[in-house]
Amino acid sequence: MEKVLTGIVVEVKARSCIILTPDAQFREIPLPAGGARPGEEVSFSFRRRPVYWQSLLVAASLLLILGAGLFYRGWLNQAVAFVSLDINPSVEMALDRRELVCQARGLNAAGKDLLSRVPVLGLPVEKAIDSLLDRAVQSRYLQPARNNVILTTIAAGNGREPAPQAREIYQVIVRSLSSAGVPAEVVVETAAPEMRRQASKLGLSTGRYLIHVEGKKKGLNIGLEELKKEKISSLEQKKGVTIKEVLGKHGYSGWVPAPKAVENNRSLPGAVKDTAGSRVQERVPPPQGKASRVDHRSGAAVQEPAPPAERVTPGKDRELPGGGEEGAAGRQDCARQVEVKVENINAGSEIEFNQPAGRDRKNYDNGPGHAGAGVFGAHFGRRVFAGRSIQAGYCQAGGRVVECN
Amino acid sequence: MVLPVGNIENLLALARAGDGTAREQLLAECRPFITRVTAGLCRRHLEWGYDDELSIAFMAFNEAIDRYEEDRKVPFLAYARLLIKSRLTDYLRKENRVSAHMAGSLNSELEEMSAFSLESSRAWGEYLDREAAREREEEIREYAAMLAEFGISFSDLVRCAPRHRDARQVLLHVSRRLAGDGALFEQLVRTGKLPIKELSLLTGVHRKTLERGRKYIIAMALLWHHCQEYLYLCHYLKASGKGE
Repeated sequence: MEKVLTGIVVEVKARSCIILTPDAQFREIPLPAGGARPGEEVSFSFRRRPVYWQSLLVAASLLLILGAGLFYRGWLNQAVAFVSLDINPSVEMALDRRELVCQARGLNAAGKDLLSRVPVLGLPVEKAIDSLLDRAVQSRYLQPARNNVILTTIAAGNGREPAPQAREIYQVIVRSLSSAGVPAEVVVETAAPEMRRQASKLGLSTGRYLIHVEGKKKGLNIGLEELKKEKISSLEQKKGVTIKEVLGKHGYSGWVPAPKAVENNRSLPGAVKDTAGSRVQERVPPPQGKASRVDHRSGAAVQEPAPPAERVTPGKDRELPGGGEEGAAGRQDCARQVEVKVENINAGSEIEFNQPAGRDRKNYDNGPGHAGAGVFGAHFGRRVFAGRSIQAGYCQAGGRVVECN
Repeated sequence: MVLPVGNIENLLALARAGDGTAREQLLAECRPFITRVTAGLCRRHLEWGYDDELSIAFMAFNEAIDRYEEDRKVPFLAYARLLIKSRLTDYLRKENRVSAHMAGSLNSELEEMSAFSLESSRAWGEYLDREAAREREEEIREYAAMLAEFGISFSDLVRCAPRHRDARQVLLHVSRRLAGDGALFEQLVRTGKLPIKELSLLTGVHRKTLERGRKYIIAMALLWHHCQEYLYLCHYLKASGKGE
């Protein structure tokens, strides 16, 4: 829409002039290039100016969008949490806000080697851990016949952004190891950002540094050099402790036994157990403080020095008020735990245990080896493990634990 | 007295087409104009029948009817005035009275031009354009000065002149009525104020509207009333036909 305005210049100003148009309008227009004298007839096209502004506006908004996009991308890709994995190879991964791995570095030679074989950049953290463990098994860093220790720490970048939940990471590791059939002691710890900083200053993984710090508190003398060089499993043997004992504070730890071991311990290998026989219900009081965190060794304990599966309540759960143990059919407080040991479970076995009516229907697990609790609708729940052999694991439903061996 | 400019243009067209009576009528109607222009150039009172200058001017005007070029965008009367000026200069030069009467009022270029025949159309065209531009500029300056007497500037007019065509037409109509009404216009000039009540009665336009367009109405009425002085501006507004 081009509108041309023509008129006689009646007044010239510094940057504009006033014209009288043939239809008796007085208009002020920008001074034409080269100036104008009063009495001169000039034309002015209205189009130029709006187009100029429009394009400027478009350019500005494009820039804004681009800038915002870049900023947002930068914001998304900013490392907000760090997950370190000590198998023997030590690896640290930085996670962005979407919990995708945005950086990864090997903290020792084996770690570097492992990373060079497994592309983890851009993967979700669960998947990255899964593939790292797979690769570690393939590369024989993790071997079924050995005493494997997997120490994982989760550290927030600056403490403000939410880090991945230790429980989720724990589940991922357990699931991954179960499917690979490798027994291991799994410890997942959360660490303060300051810990991570200190650790990287010393060239250690956060996990190993944590061992050093916590060990010191407990009177164990674990030197930094030792930590740097030794495998965690050999450290365990050397010092005669388990990492879980050293660290066991507010993380998750447990033992993933090899499926074969479970199988071997059965008196009748390959026999399908009577469903009723494998149904065990047991309730134990929730752990209260450190003293109550005792090992509940299952009857089907496996390798030595196989630590028993144990769940250490995460920090925030510990804050919740615990209560006394109620009757077998009594309602449970969410914060309490009940461990149900199930023996002689095999493919197709059923377990069942009390479940408070009307609470916590959410499924907590769906991987192999986890007793599930998601389908309980009423007072009693049951879960059928179709076609899978059960390994150590736990499920958490309404704050209780089912342990299966 | 407002000269009916539209009438003059009609007569001019007829006269140029060869209508003898129209030419006679045009010349008769424009005699006061010729007198004023000539007197202005000679800077003295002139009387028909006594002063040769008037005869020269009259002949020049007659010539202008034939020679007028519409596409030059110069109003006819302005064209005639330029031609009268040029012819008078020639005459006065011949009479050796140029220095006495014309010094200062005509530039040297014009004198040089006059030395050659103005019939040489290119030179004449250039002269005409230049003179027209100068006159137009002068005219605007005078108009601005007159508006200033009423406390109106062109910037005011930019602000208060209605943008909408219909609204503008209403105010233009009012201003024409004001310019044509001797008593009301005289009142405007005397008091410097717009006789809003009377105009509202006369035109049936609401006084609020008149009040809003006060400056615009005054400016336009002044222009219409002095159409013979502001030949270029009036002509420009009329050329579009919308000024009516």
